[in-house]
Amino acid sequence: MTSVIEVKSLRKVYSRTNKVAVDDVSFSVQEGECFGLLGPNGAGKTTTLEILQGLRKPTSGEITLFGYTWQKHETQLRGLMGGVMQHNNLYDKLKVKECVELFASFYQNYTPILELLERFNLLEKKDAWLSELSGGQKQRVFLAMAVVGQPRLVFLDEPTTGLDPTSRQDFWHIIKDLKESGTCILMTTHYMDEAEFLCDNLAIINSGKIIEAGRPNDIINRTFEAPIIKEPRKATLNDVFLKLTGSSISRESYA
Amino acid sequence: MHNATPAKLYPFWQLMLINIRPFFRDRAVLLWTFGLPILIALLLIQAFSGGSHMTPVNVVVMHEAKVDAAWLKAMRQDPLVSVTSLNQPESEALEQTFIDADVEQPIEHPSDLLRTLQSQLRPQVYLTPNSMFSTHNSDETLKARNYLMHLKAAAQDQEVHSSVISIKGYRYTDWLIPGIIVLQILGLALVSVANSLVSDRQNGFFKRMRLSPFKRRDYIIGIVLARLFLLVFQMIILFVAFNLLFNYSLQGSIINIVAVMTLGSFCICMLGVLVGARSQRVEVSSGISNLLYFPLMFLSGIYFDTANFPDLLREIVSYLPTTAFLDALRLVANEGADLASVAKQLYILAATSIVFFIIVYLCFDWGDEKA
Repeated sequence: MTSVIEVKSLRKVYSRTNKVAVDDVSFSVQEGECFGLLGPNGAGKTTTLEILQGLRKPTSGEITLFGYTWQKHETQLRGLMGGVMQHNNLYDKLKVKECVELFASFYQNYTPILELLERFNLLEKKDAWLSELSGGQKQRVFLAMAVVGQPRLVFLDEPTTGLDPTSRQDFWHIIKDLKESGTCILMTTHYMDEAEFLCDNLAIINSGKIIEAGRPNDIINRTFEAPIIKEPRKATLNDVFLKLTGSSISRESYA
Repeated sequence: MHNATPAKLYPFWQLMLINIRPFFRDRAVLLWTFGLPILIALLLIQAFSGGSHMTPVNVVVMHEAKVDAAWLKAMRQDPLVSVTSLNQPESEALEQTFIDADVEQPIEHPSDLLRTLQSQLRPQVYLTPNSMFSTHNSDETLKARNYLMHLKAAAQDQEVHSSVISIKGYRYTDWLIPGIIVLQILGLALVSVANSLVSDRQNGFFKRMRLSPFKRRDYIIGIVLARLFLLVFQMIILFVAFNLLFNYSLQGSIINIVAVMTLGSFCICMLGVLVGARSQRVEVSSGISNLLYFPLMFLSGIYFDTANFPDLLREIVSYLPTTAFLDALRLVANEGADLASVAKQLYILAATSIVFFIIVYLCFDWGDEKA
C-alpha cells in the first residue's frame, strides 16, 4: 500500500498566544485507510487537521499528501479532497439537492446527485430545505457535499458530535461504505466507539503530542496488561483513552 | 439506473443560484428586499414632486391704491386667492426692507410685522405696484406668481400664456425617478452584497468551500450576478409602478438604458464586494455600507441637482460612481441620449469597477491564516 498522507515532525506554534498547539507529530496514512485522531478538547486535533487541509501553515515539519505539498500543488490537492467541518452551515432555505449540486460543480467529475442521495438515504428529502432536516440528516447532507466530487481523501472533524445514537450508526455505515469503495478518510473524534468501529489506525494526541498510535486492538493490548481487563468486551478504547489522557475516573466508579 | 456521465455544472452559476433562491423562498426577505424599497420610492416621489393641483395663494399687497385696480379686483374675487392689504406706513417699511435685502444674505432682523405675516399668513407673494417678492424658492411660489400674472392679463383683456408645461422626460418626476432607481441599486448592490458575503465568511462558508477545488473568482462572479439578476426583477417592478402611477416612460433606446444600468449596477456591486472584503462581522460591514450610503445618496444628485453645488465640489462628485451612473441614466433614460454622449460617465464607471476589482483581488480575506 502506498501512503496518502505523510506527516513528519509537525509543529505548530500560534504566534499570537505563543501556544504550542502541535508538537513533533509524525504519522502516515495509507491508501484506503480510515485514520483517527483522538484526544481531549484542545489537544491539537483540529489544528493538525487544518494544517493537513491547507487551511493553516505549520511552524515546522513536513507534510505530503499524495506526494504533493501545499506550497507547490494547492490546486491539485484541493481537487483530491473533501471534508466535513466541526460546525457546518449553509443557507437555511436551500434544498438538499441544491447544496450537493453546488459542491458537485466544483469538481472535475461527480457522482450523479440522485444516486448519491439514495446511497445516503436522503432521496425522499431531496427537495426539503436544510432548515427542515434533523441533525443526523443535515450531517449526511454535509457528508454528501464532501464526497459528491469523488475525492480520494475525506476529512471529518468530529462528524457525529451532537447526533443521537441511531443517526450516528447510520453515519458510520455510510463512512464504512465510503472506505470500502477506496476513499481514504482522516477523522477526529471524541467517541471511542466511533474510532473503534471505523478506524484502521489511530493516534491519540494530548497537549499537542502523540501519546499512543497504532491499530485499535494493539493499543488496547498494550495499554492494559491484566488479562481480565484485556478480554474482548471488557476493555475498550474508551478505557485506553481515559487511562492515557490522565482521567481520574476509574472503572469501579461506574458501578 | 442514472445517467453515467452527469451534465457539466458551472460553479459560478451554482453559486449565483444559491444566492438567488433564498430570496424567493423567504417571504420576509422578499418583502424587505422588494416591497419596502418600492414603497419608500413611491413615498419619496410623492414627497418630493409636490402636488399637481393649484393650492390657495396668499398675497400681501402694499400701496394698494397704486396697484392696477382691475387686477386687484380679479384677485379679490378669485376663490383661490386671498389678499391682505397693508396700510401706508406698513407698506412703506416693508417695501424698503425688501428693496434693501441682499439676494445672497438673509434678512438678519425681520420686523415684527414681517414675522407676523410670515408665521400667520405664510404668503407666497408680496406685491407692490411694480414688484413681486417671495420668501421661498419653491414650485408653489412659482405657480402662485404664474397664477397672479394670469389674473392680471385676464383683467386687462390681454391674452398671455404663461404656465408650467410638462414635457415627458423633463418633468420633475422624470428627473427624480432615475435617482430613486440608483438609490434602490445602491441599497441592494452595496449593502446586500457586503452583508451577505461577510455573513458567508462569518458562518465558515469560505472555509468549507476551501475543502474543495472551488475557484475564488467564481464566488465573486456568482454573488455579483445574483444581485444583478435580483435587480432586473426589482427594476421591472419599479418601472411598471412608475409608469402606472406617474405616467413615466423611458425615452431612450432600451439597449442603451440596459447597458448603462448593467455597468452602473456592476460597479456598485463591486463596491459592495470591496466593503465586505475584509470585515469579519456583519455589524462592521453594515456600518461601512451606511457610512458610504448616505454621502453617496446626497452627493450624487438623487434629490438635489448637483448643478447647485460649488464648481469644485461639482467636479469632485462627478467622479463618484453613483453620480456618473445617475447622470448617465438621466441622459439616456429621460433625454434619449446615445452612449457616446455619456462616454465620460461610462469611462468613470468602468475605471472605478476595475480599481475596486484590483483592490478586492489584493486584499480579500478568504480565511487564509495570517502569519
